[in-house]
Amino acid sequence: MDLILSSLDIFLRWDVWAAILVGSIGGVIIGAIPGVGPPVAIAILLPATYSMDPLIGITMLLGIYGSAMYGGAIPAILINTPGTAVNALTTYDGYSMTKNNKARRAIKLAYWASFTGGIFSVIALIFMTSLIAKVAPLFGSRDILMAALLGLVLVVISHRNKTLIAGMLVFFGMFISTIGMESVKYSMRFTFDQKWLLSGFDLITVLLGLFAVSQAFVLILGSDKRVSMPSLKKGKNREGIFDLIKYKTVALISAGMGVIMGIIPGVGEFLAQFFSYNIARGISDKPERFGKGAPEGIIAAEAANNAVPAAAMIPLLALGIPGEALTAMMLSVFYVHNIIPGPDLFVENLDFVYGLYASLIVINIIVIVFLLVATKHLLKIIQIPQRFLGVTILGLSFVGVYTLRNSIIDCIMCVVFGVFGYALKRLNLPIVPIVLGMILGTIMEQRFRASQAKIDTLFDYINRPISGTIFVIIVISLLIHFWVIWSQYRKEN
Amino acid sequence: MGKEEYQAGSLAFAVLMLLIVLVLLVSIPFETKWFDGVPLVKQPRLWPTFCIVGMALFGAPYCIQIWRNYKFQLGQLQGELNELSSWLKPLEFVFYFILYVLLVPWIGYLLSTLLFFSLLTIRAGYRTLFMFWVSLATGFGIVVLFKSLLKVRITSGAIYDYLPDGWATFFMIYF
Repeated sequence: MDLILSSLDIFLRWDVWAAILVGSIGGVIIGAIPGVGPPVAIAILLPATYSMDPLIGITMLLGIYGSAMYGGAIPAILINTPGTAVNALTTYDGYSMTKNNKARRAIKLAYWASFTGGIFSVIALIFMTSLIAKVAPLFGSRDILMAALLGLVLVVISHRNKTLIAGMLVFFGMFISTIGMESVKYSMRFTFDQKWLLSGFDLITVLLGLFAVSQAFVLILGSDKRVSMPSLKKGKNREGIFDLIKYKTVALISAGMGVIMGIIPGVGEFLAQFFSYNIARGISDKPERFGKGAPEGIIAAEAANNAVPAAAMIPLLALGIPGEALTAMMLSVFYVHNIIPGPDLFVENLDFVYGLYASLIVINIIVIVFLLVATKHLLKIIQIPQRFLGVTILGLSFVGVYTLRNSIIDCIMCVVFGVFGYALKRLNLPIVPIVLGMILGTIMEQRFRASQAKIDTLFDYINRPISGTIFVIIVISLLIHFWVIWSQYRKEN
Repeated sequence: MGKEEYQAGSLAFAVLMLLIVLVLLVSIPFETKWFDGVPLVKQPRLWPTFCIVGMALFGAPYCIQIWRNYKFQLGQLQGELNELSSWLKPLEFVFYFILYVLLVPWIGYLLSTLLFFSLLTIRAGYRTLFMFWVSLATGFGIVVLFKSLLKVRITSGAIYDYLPDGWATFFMIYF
């Protein structure tokens, strides 16, 4: 009872509600503007949240993360341009419905499917984190080392046809995290006698460069597209709900798929929605309608991708292992406030965890209400000129990087990573492996050293039940990956 | 690793990355320390070496894969050079950004932001009075949001010292 009251005491503060409101509505707007996306927004806002209370900072970022995909469905359906990258699949059936004068129905369907996915995953988060939290105290250094290794392996192999470069970039990220003074003998590593490299590369500086500054360059150097926005005919809000009830099996399967894919590090929204979409097509009476305006197609894509954010918090909260770039950014907010995600979080800060759960539910409710009321006004925001958007992101990136330490060196590093990220984007190469390499690499190095007292042979790394199980999962994942490559090779030759 | 459609710039990127890896490999003995009597796992040299070797193990086959897909034709070479030059295009905006960073401690966050937004908006190709005002309003809005409301730490401008006492303090705190 005391715990519930203390959680409510945290959750019912006005500043927490303000953060929820700003995060969720801001997230929808950011998601609705093609070319921005939650990684850019979160990277920019990250330093600003450091001075805030941890729950406020994390709630605001979670609001952006959880609601951006709701907003991203709007341009995907209306103008065939996904607001965030993960809304790409929504364009297949969403835009087809718009061309058939069913834009309003498609939009409502996307909202309610997103809501289902969002709420479903929060419920999964509540049940599964408490379950994992019971197992989590059993995790030793070797188990966490293996879990981090699993994360890296999955990040690499999930980049199908780009495995080699993804692997290289993961190791590049790991290498970056080793630069500077190390913590055992306090010697310098790869500082090239430069004082400004003593403290190494700050994660936020790298994140801002790779995500925000590079995107600013992409937009400024690109061209503005003229957008003709279709009008939304008047109709009833409940039409989306009726469709959702009709296709409830698809919604629930897709949300479940989103949760599973969200938990697995490195997989995320893309695979979740592709799997869900294929399952929905498989169980549909009219599979030929998919890609031509099938309501189940929108439900599958949106329910799946909106189920991922809360699910991705499960390994983060329970084990302290981020599965993708956005949860990696969240992790840095935890660290700054000396709240260490992992087994101890559920013992020492349980009221904080409950407050987080409640915030996630409220975020989804606020977003759906906001969207049902304000979609018409959001349509104007979508039409912001892209190059001006780039200028704005560049200006905002300054705030993000300069406020860290008021350092010009940080700003220079940030733009250098921005140019590097720009080249990666032009070559269509992944950025996320670098970020996860930086974070998981640091965790791995620390756990590797910490586990040495109990290690005599290499076999000792995997002779514990948990580390052994994770090792088996790693081996199976690699075997499946190589089997797929082999099958592909045989088919091509 | 079948033959895939070649994307211009891929070879240049792969070779550049591999060169960086080679430089790092050679630098290991000079840029990391080895302590006698310390177990291998606690050697500061171990982890960076592991990372660089990992980069090499993935980078070398990646380079070979790209090489196999590359056709030595004049057109493709031209495409490669065009792509390389396009990576340098952001440098102009890097210059403006660094200039902005350098100006903040002198003329203050507000004035430098207004200058940055208005000039960059013009540079981005928006030459109407409407967009000029929009850029100023956006810049002002960002300053008010972050510096005045969220109170993020940004150095105040030296120029504020020339303002009357009350105004100077006000501008230092809020702008």
